[in-house]
Amino acid sequence: MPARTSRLERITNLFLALLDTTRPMPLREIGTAIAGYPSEPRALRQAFERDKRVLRDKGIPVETERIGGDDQVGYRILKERYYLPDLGLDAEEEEALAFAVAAVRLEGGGGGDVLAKLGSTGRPELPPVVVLPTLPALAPLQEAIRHRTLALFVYRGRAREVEPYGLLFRSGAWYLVGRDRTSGKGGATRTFRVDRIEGAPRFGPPGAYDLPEGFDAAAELRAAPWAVPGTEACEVVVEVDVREAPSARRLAGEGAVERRLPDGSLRLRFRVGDEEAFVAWVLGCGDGVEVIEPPELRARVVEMLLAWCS
Amino acid sequence: MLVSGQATDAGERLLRLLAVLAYLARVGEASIADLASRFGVDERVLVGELELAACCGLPPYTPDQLLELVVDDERVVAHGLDALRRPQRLTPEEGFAVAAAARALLAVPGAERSSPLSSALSKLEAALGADRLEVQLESAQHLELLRAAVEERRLVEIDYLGSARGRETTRVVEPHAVVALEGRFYLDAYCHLADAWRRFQLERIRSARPTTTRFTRREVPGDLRGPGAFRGGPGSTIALVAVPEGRQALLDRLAAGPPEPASGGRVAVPVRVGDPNWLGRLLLRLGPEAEVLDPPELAGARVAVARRALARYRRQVGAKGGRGAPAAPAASSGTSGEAEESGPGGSGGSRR
Repeated sequence: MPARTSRLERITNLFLALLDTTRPMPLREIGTAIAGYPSEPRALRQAFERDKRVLRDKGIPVETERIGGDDQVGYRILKERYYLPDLGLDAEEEEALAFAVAAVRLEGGGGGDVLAKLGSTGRPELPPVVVLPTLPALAPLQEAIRHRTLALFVYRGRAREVEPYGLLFRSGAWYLVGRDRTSGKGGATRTFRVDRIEGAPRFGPPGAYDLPEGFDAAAELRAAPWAVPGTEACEVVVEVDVREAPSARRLAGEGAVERRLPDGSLRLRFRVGDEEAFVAWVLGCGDGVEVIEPPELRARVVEMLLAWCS
Repeated sequence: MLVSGQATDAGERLLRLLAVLAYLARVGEASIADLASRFGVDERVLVGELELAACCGLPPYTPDQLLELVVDDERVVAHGLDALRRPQRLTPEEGFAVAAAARALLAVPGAERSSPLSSALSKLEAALGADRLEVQLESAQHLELLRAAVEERRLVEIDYLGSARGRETTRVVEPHAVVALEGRFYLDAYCHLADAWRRFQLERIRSARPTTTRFTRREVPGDLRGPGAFRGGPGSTIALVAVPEGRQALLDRLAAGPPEPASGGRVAVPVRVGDPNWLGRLLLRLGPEAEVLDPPELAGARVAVARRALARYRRQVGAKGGRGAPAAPAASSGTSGEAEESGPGGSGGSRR
């Protein structure tokens, strides 16, 4: 117990002193002035380096600055980099944020004690209203968007260089939309499922690109699996029964609804870019969806079903 | 040595201590019990750390330079602590958590566009940079009505479309909570028809009528928490589904365990199945190379679904003998069918 306790004490003292000082503190001074450090120079250096690493690991920005004289470098924590800038939230806004943080549960993602940092002294206990999955890559990707840093990662077995434009949660999955410099001629806007990114993304220096004005990630992300840019789009007509109606309507869009039948089923007409994906979707709906037009696609579905039944 | 079993490294303990001190700086005084539960620390550990903090401060560590904390077994009183009052910058994880939570709540149908929450979010963005984050939740009918019924503990009668065979049933339920999981809204309720807890997809509730009868809340079962709830209920089986390598994307999110190599350059993914029809449809969607390796009794799931789908086409095509295919081999009903159902988006599966 004593060894560990004194480490916490020493590191707390170091933190308080570095945050308080207005000029960089050289190591020698840290050794003599701050409680808990050994006096022997090598042991001091070792102890300080370990503590500094712990502080930096925890996101506490310990700056190393050049100073004159024998000491060469000094250390301090810059207040403007350490403190959260004043957000100017009023009491109602604080309460609203606290409610949101309490009512939305992020599965598998820690947020630390954000509520306390945002000034809330209460901690509402609520059943969750929304449960969202999270992934380790999301927070760094969001930082990348804020700082305009390139994200480098492997996707579908290929190394990508992406200018992240936005993050979007839809239908149970997180998507990154951005300009992939390695796609198309000189780059193209692409959508990546964040849970399919292979390994942890790496990031470049800040300010590497500009965010396009009025960019709409949601519009970029095509909802329907069959709407991926294919060759010629063909028009299809399907009848979906009441079980599949809500999700089919969501995928095909409200404009696709041609007729509503009394039993709750729908007749939908829409364009399909990727026939393979469309057929896979139809098959996956079992007897809930029937292709009416075009006859070739209808025949193909029947043929595939026959193959299974024979 | 591992007293509380958590926050054992110096950095974690420092951050926690700073959070406790920042809180004390704002409230001035708190009971140990309150602090311990608020920050999830053992009371004895907390008192130890606060006593330690009372010895910390600035050189030369004269009494006027120490953190002003008066600690006893029950309360702690703080003075000053000005340097610690202002919060530390949000970590990327915290920044994401706040933005995602606010965006998600604003995406709940019926949320006010201009609310304290949206203005808080703009201020957050102004200080931290635009987050370019968007959360979309499906639009959900009956949301308000069901929320109110949960609040008022009122029985609700619903017409619900079972996922397995599209049969509509009318049930009286005790609504417990309405929650969006992976973008979809569900009602967790005790169902009088099934005499068991059920998770209903709001999309499949055709109509909902609140009654005047109140109910007393039941003990909520432990598995009624989180997206995995009800999936592993009695009657669900793990099926081992083999797909060609590189084609497992659709299965990734449904996987109930790590994939393993299978014969013919395929991978076998364990998938939790409550309803054989659901599995049959999944297999049809996955294509001809997909196959159920285990258990053998589920191997026929795909053919059963294909037969029924084919029957639908035959019925239409001039009723030529096709109506003789009523075969729709009624598969045994899945106990957790409501939760197992998966739409074309492939959602509805467990993410573990």
